[in-house]
Amino acid sequence: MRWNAQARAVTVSFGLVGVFSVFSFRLIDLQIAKHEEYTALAAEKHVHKQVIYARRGIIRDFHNEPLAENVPVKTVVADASHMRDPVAVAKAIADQLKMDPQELADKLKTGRRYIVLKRDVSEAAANQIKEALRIANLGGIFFEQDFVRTYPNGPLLSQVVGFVDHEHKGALGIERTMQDFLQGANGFRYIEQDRTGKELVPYRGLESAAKDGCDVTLTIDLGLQNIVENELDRAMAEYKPKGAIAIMVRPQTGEIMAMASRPTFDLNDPGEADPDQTKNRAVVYMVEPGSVFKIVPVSAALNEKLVTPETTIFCENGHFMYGGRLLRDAEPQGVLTVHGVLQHSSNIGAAKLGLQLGENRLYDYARRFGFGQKTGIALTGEISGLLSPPQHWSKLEITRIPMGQSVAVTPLQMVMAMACVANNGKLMKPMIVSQITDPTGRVVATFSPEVERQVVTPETCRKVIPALQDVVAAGTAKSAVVPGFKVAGKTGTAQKIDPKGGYMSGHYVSSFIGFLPADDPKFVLLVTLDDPTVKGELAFGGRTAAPVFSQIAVRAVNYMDLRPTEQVPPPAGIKKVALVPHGRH
Amino acid sequence: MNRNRKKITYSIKIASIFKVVLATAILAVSGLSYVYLKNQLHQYGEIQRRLERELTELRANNEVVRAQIAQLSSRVVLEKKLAKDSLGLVPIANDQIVRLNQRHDTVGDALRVVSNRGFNQ
Repeated sequence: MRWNAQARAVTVSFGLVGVFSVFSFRLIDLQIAKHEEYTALAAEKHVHKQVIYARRGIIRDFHNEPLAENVPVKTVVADASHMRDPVAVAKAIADQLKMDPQELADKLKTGRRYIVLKRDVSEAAANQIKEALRIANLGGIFFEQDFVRTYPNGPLLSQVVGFVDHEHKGALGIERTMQDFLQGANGFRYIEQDRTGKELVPYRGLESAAKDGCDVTLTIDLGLQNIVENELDRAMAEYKPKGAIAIMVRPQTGEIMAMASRPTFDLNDPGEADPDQTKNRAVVYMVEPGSVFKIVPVSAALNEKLVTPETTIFCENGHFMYGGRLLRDAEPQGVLTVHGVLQHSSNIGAAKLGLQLGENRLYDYARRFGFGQKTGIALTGEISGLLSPPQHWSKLEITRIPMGQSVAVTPLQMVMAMACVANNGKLMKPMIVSQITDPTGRVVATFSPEVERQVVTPETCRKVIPALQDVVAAGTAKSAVVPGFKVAGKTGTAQKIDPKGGYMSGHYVSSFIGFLPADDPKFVLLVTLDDPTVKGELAFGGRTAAPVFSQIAVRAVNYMDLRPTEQVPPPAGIKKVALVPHGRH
Repeated sequence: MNRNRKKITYSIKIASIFKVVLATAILAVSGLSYVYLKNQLHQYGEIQRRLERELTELRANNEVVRAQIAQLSSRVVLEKKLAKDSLGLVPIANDQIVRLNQRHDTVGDALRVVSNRGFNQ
């Protein structure tokens, strides 16, 4: 059969249509049916999600001195899938990375697309690596932005500021409690890269900017903190206690001005610290308060108008039998006034005030002063202490709790209770964070002083404070004196509890809590020494903690430029002269 | 036979040629512009990438320097330096401080305020 021209043309046309139809179907299959699949494959090959790191917020003290900063560093990453000469690359960068070239080359020879070679490489070292690669015309090494947290003051305020873990999450202290404000939010950007790994900027995809973290300002005054820490170090050297705590509070607001704990550690090297060093003893340490607690029964009895400061109490000449057990005073006393009970720190006097108050009222006042419950301070690990309700008390508790036994408190609770007396009976919530600002400096949150409750009346406080002044002027804490200022305070010496039961003989927790000027207190300061040693003497609070209080307070009043309220004898060689006011010659 | 042949003339259709040339030119210019603009886009992208990197590096260096300043001016470092360099600086002892009680009479205060105003101007 001979085909005519028309038949041939039709055949060829059908052939072409068929071929192009196949192509078209394949195109439709690729472009439409399998679009998602191939787009994903292409994206996997060329598109990367680039993280834009947010800057962690800075922690500052009350005067904006930085306590925690960020130092940018780089994570060095290799893409060995496109590396022409892994050995040459290893040789070029090994020195800067302080790594063995052979070990590095072995890593690069794996041909993987993402190999983390080293973290926390300084900016300077990263620049040197870039330069070395540029000169040798080598590629395949990339840098990811990261940061390390640094603490310019090292061990100063360590347990309060805290530190971050390897994921940059707060692990302790303010770093942890303020994590949500400090961390910010990382941003991201989808980028497309060419064969050499260079970004193709016109093909950038979805992008979200990083949101830097907020800065946190504390109520801590680093000047005062430095004084407190220096004096605490001196006390550690002198009395060799197992631990020491100092807390300074502004009584009217509850602001923590300084807070230190020993043993301590360097924030820049938290890995080297033992768990004991990282404990902020001010909030996690539970002790029997000892005589410091006597402010509770005395204030309560005065507030309930059961007694006046002049009411006399027979102190049994130092031996009081109650509930089949003997209660002693360190210095036997006969008849004391309520004022004298506090001044001479009589256990028997305090016990009798407790009996007069009764279990329920004593418990109620102890709770009202904040014992047995957390203060709610923004610090990690705070404990509530131990104050059992009266239904769990034995017959002895009513005489033991008023003298600070059978009750366990934290140093922070103790200082806040004394601050309550100094603040006309208002118990304040302790404040450690003053404000939070965003990266542009706009204030996001300001923390105002919070009154927890009116524990006792201002009139009661006016009766308690003179007794506390006499503790320093003529009582158990004469070494707490601060020249030029009336100091009010109370010593505490509690026997340490033996883990096997009972008390440990010759081991004490010695404390002094005081405030000044007594008439218009500018700060309340607690000093607690855990098992101090004094040669040939018992380590009473008045003998160990009170002098440390005095040393801190003397330096603090100078730092704060407080005007002395009492006459201080002028130094030798200085004459008093009359001043002629300016312009009146 | 030649006489019988019709003389057929084909005039050049300038308008058509012009249209084709114009269309081709437009297509060519569009194509070239597309390529040129795409190149420009890549070039500017590259400039943007470089500038972004520079900005990031500047910010990073700024942070490094700020951290160094904080470190060098921290109390701990300053105290160590003070002790090491033996500058002879000691804290002022309490008995070396003399406080002068200022007069608080109205005339004196008023004079001081006026004098300060003058000074500020």
